[in-house]
Amino acid sequence: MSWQLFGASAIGASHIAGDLPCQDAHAYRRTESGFVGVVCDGAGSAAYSDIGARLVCAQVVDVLADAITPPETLTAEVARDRVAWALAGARNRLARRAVAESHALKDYACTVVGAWMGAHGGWLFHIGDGLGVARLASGDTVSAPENGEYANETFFLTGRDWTTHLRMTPVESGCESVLLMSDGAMGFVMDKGGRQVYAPFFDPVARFLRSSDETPGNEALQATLADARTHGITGDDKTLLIALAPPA
Amino acid sequence: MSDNAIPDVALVDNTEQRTPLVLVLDRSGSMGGAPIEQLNEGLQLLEQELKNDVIAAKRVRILIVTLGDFDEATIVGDWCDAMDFTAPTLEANGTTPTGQGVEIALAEIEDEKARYKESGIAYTRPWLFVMSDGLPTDAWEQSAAECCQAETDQKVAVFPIAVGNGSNAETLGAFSSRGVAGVKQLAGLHFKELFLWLSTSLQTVSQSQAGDRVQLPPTDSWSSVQV
Repeated sequence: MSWQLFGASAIGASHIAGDLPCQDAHAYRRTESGFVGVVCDGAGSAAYSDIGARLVCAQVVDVLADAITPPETLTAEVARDRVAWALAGARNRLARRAVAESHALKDYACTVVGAWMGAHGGWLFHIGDGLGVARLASGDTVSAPENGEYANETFFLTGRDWTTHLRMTPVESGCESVLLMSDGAMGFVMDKGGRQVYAPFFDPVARFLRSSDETPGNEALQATLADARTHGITGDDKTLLIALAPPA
Repeated sequence: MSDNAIPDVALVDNTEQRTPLVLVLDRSGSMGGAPIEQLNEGLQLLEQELKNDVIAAKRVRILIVTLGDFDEATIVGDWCDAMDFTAPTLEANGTTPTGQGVEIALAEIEDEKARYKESGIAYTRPWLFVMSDGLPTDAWEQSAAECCQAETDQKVAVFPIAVGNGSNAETLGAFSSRGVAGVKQLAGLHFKELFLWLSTSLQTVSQSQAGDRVQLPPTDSWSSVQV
């Protein structure tokens, strides 16, 4: 048995009203013993952040999923180096594209929250806002958003000092599920304070997805994130990536 | 709910985010008659508009400071969420202690931010509106300098509004890091349009997410050419 993986990105009401594209993107891939998943949220103020978000999540997932050593066996330092290497590759690709298209690198600004998991644990990695959470019997391990003083300021992979904002969180063995989300989804996926998953949202979702195949599961998740009730919570794009561990 | 959405999912707002707004309002004697009436109507409009927006009603926090009587800057009520805000009815009387009013507003903003930090509540940059139809009657220079510095340090966004013929624009400009260029001149008595703009802008800001460069609506409905 392997991990069940699902993901959806729904455009926000204010993006529709402002004629903006969905600037969130996500990617995931199963590996021999686990999976890699990444959610990117393109900056609202950056002209091509939707492209940045798509390129970054796809490339980082590909690079990390090709690694042979199980992530949970790496030391914190080595794991960080590997993740930084994958991110730097994606950032370089954006920089080359920016030059080719006569844009600035910051026009592709996006945040990154990802999970690199093996059979016995792994890592959450994170630049900027959005949120990652690994659910264990002992409680939720959370990689929290990093904002500036104000809630509408954060850090991006395209920033000059991105490596200082790269944060790694180890995930212990025995993880039941992993959730990665953009900040637009945080308001209803997490509870007040954002320290744990909000069960009245997630329990029915997990129950449904456990018995779903990938395509219908993704469609149902997409429809749920696009539900009109979310418009009273956020005007922003909403992305949620869910990984359900195989039964122990 | 769409047909193929996952059933029985709770979708409730657990976001805790605030956008603080302080209005420093001149209710000195010279505002008597039509101006104060229009200002009061404008405040009622602000109340209604913010309450009509489900997200802004929960996130915008308001405090009003009035300038009047014998050089008295007074806090009206206390900080409240827009959903609990009741527009006060102001009476025109007295002088214009703008310096004192702004000083109180800046201190209140820092206190309010401290409370958010203590409770782990995220917030967007506080907004400070300073609206006046005359020259300050107190010693305002020091507090104008502090206000400028606070704006430069990104502690607050300052919006000075000149009511009347704009003869006080230069003085009000001293409260903004953008100087006179930062002052908006209220055209005639378009308080209603001003407060509509304020409410629309707050709806945008209170929903803003990281990385947004907030595009505020145009001000032509209430502002004449900058003086």
